[in-house]
Amino acid sequence: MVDAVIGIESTAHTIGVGICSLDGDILYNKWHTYTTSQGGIHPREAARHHARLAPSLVADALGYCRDVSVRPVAVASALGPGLGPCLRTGAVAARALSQSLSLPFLPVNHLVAHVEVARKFCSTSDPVTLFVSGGNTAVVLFRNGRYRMVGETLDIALGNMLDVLGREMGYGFPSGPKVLELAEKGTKMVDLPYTVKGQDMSFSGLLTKCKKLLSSGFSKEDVAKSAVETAFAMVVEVVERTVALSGSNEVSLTGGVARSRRLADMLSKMCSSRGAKLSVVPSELSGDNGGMISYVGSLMYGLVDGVRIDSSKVVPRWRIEQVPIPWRKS
Amino acid sequence: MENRASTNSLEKELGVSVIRRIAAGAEADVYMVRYHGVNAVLKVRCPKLYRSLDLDNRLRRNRTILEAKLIVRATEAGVNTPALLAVSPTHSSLLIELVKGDSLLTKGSSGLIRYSEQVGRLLGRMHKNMITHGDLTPSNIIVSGVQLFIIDFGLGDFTSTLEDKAVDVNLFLKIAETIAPQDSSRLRAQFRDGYIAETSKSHADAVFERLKEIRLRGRYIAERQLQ
Repeated sequence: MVDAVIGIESTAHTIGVGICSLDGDILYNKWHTYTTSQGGIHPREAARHHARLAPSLVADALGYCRDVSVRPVAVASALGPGLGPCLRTGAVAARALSQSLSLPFLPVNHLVAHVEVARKFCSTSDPVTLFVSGGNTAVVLFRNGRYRMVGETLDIALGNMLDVLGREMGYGFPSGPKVLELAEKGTKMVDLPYTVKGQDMSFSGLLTKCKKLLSSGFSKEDVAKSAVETAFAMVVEVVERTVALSGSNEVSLTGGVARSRRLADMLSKMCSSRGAKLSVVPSELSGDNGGMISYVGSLMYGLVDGVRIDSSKVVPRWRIEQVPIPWRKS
Repeated sequence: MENRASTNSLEKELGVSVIRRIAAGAEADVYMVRYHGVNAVLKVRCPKLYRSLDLDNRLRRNRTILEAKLIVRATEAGVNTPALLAVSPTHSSLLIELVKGDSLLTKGSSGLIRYSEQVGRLLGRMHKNMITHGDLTPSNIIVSGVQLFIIDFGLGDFTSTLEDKAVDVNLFLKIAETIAPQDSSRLRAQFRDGYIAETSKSHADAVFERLKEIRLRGRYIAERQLQ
């Protein structure tokens, strides 16, 4: 019998269930992502999608536990940050599971999960983490017992910028990957706002300019290339500055946009010029998934008490600095 | 090899000879050089191979020229900053006076407590003169004897908007608070006192009010829900 934590993710577009042994092995990781044929995420529709799929995802996970002799010892749930309706749906599933199996309920911060699951694949223990997704663009360092966002977006996330740009081009959600694909075919770079303020970034001016370029006849490919090259150069510059400032010798790339080959390529060039190493989270763990939630649950298990169901409220706004990290030494 | 060759032609252009590289910053390589019988600092914005060539050339050239202008303006305004000796736009390089000392970053939390008031003064004086620094981290402040010198105006700008000023203040305080979390309110109060001394209370109030807004703009801030 292997003891394991079941984790549920539902902060935005994806509902997922994962199982992680107390030794930190992610044994099981299944998810389903809400998509649209046009337009972006509608939070209520996404929540409806999650509610429709949660019962079978949970039942399949429990079936897996029976089949391979895994004993669930806790339920971990991503209570935030994220979209309220989506968070509440996953939390209901997690609470029901926790009550019916009489297991402790562990609230997991979604940002911590992305950072920790990426760190699991690093060769050093204290990397600079770049977390880029549809909802987040953050450079994260661990200092004084907490994860700290040393650089972040001041407005929209990089992935969000790509998704909206794709939406303007007529693609459905998620359209970021489509924009990345078009960018590879672009031939011309157009000057776009490059906004790095200290360690923080802004992508909204760049997006506005891209929309204007599209309506004045520039090709999708060239606009995509310019947007991707400029935005990636901004985040890589901020990571480079953090590496220089912290003296860290490893960069960890995580989040949905971590799947971009171009971003990994740029980061790895930057890293090798500074004698640092790049680790990219495996693609099945880069986007939102339940596996990473169960993994953080396994880190918390025994160190953090479970919460009572009546205080397991979702936290749509929950900064990474607010979360104690008792499994790491200060 | 490539780097070495470009340094050679740069040395010829500016009439300097490289003694040694003293730092590989995030943006630029910094060399100690000999210039007309004195030691000086050569800052070279080297090409970043990770970004597209057009973007890289544009960023390096524009930042170098702007930085040169900012240094001159700051010197005129009486802000302690190393003097500008020469500029090479073609090599994205600046030749700057050598100031002896260590960065404030090396002084740890005690250094921050000791100097935060003075940092506030210097930044106040820059802002009064329409200069924003854009990257006022402790590693860009040199402690030389009892004086502080501000270096690296590479992300600076000529602007007097509240937003840019508050971003400057935010960056310094955010990093200072990360380095010395237990002393954050003290650091902030001392910095503010220095800033007021160079500007005015009403100006500082406006900047700090904007700073509060900027922090609320960050993602997942609970207080923002109440607005």
